[in-house]
Amino acid sequence: MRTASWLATACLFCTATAHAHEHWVIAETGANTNGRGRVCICSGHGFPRSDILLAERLLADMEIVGPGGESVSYKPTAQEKTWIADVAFDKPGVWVVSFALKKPQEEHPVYQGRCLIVLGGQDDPNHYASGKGLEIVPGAPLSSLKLGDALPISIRLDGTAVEGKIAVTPEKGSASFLSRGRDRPAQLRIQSAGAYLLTTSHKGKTFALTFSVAAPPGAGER
Amino acid sequence: MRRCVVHMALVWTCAAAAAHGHGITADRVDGGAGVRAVYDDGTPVTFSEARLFAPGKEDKPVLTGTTDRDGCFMFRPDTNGVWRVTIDDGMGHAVTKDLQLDGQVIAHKPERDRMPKRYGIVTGLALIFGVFGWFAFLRLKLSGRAGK
Amino acid sequence: MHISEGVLSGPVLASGAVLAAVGIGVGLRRMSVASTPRTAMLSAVFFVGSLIHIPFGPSNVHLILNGIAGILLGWTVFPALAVALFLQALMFQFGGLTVLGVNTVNMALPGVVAYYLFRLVFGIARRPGIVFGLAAILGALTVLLSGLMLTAALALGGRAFLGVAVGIVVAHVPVMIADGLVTGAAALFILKVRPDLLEPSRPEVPT
Repeated sequence: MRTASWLATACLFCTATAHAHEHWVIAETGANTNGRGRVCICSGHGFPRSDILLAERLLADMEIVGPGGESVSYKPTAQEKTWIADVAFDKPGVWVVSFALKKPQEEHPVYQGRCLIVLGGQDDPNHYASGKGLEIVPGAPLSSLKLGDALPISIRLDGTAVEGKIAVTPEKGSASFLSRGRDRPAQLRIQSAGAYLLTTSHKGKTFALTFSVAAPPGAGER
Repeated sequence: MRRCVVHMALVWTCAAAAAHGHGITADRVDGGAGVRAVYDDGTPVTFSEARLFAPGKEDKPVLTGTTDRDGCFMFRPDTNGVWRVTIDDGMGHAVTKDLQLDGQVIAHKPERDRMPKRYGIVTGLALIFGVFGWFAFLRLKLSGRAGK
Repeated sequence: MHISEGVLSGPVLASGAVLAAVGIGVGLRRMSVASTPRTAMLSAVFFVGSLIHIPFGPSNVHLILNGIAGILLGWTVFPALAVALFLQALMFQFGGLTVLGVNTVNMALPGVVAYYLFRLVFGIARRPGIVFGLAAILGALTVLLSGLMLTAALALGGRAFLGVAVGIVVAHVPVMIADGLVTGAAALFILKVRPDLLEPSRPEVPT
């Protein structure tokens, strides 16, 4: 009887985590892309798979900021349950792809998503943050992450560190929560290669960050 | 000439009788039925797409709009029956609510409180000739030629 | 072509009211007892003519006939159209009472322009073909001028109606044609039965 109740509780906890509904943007560059890539705006319960198509009227602030700081808008089209745009990643460095969910009658977005891509090994964590609004900011270069590393992560509001909880959903593995104190950054233990989704909420606004950790050379592909 | 003028006036009047005026007025109405949508944590589903289906007409909404900042969507039913409201926040959350409305019909057929067009045309013409006739009379009186 | 209530700003409405009052005053001064029936008749024609709608695409437009009214009445077209516009606003909520001044100026001033242009040309040539053509052109011109004045009034109001106003002018192209033809036919008819009404030497000031 006790086992059954523990089992039921465990199931409830797992399903509660699994059914967390998130929205995110993720970019794929692939191996031989000739500087081309694909941006996907997704929504659903099973990161990185998108199973809900967001309403077009809510999509806003879709832009890509390149290594030189230049900003370009992108316009995705709906393909099944995902909004997809083919874009150009034509130089090495840190690329920041972002989008927002904003109701037309409201002044500020209710949800913001960002994807960080590092190409060509030219990494610069100073480009990870915009300094505006709510954001999750990795504190170490993403391109040099390896399995077992601890990635410091902070939550910032208009550039100032704040406390909060970060929900972590890796592509492989189970979801977890990190707690970030005002003076103590959260530490994310990298336990698997692949994509990571980090979300945090603050005063009714939610921010989602995605990035990828490369598989070690010679390791099994995802 | 006089007959022509009379004929012209008659033709104009008959043609105008079938004319349509245009202009709008708005009057206050109170009451109504509606739904309020909230998320599981109690926060209202604000500014989300709402659609209303009338009884027996499930294929096409009779009213579309958005919920207000309190998550409410209101309407004025004009027939009894089951009215269906769907609300979709566009982010993967949607709800459908059926409202059984009996004896709560609020909207009535609008009463014609304006003068029918034909009468309006005739009255207008009469007033025009009356106004200018009165002006001519005043003019005559002022110039001292009345009664001669 | 009628502007509705609540569209124009206060200064535009006030200016329109003042200009209309001036025009009506001048028109009443120049209206003789003998010309009163003609004035009333053309006021009635305008009143009823505006209710006849011509379908045009998704909307419809109505006859205006301020051209023939202006040619026959001169400055007296101001009080004639003011009375008709007032009754249209009262009976059919067509236009409005606060915008009565602006609507009067938009409709009547082009009529006055047509009056002077007609007198200028008619004094030179009086052949039926020329009268018809001249009246038709003036009938269309008055509609165009009314449309342009409407556009100007909306633009002065400061709202983003300019694009809509241009559409209004374009939508009234069939009205220009219809008004032109009616004005030409009416002028031709009057030339045959009462040419004295078209005489450029006909005095404006009442005798």
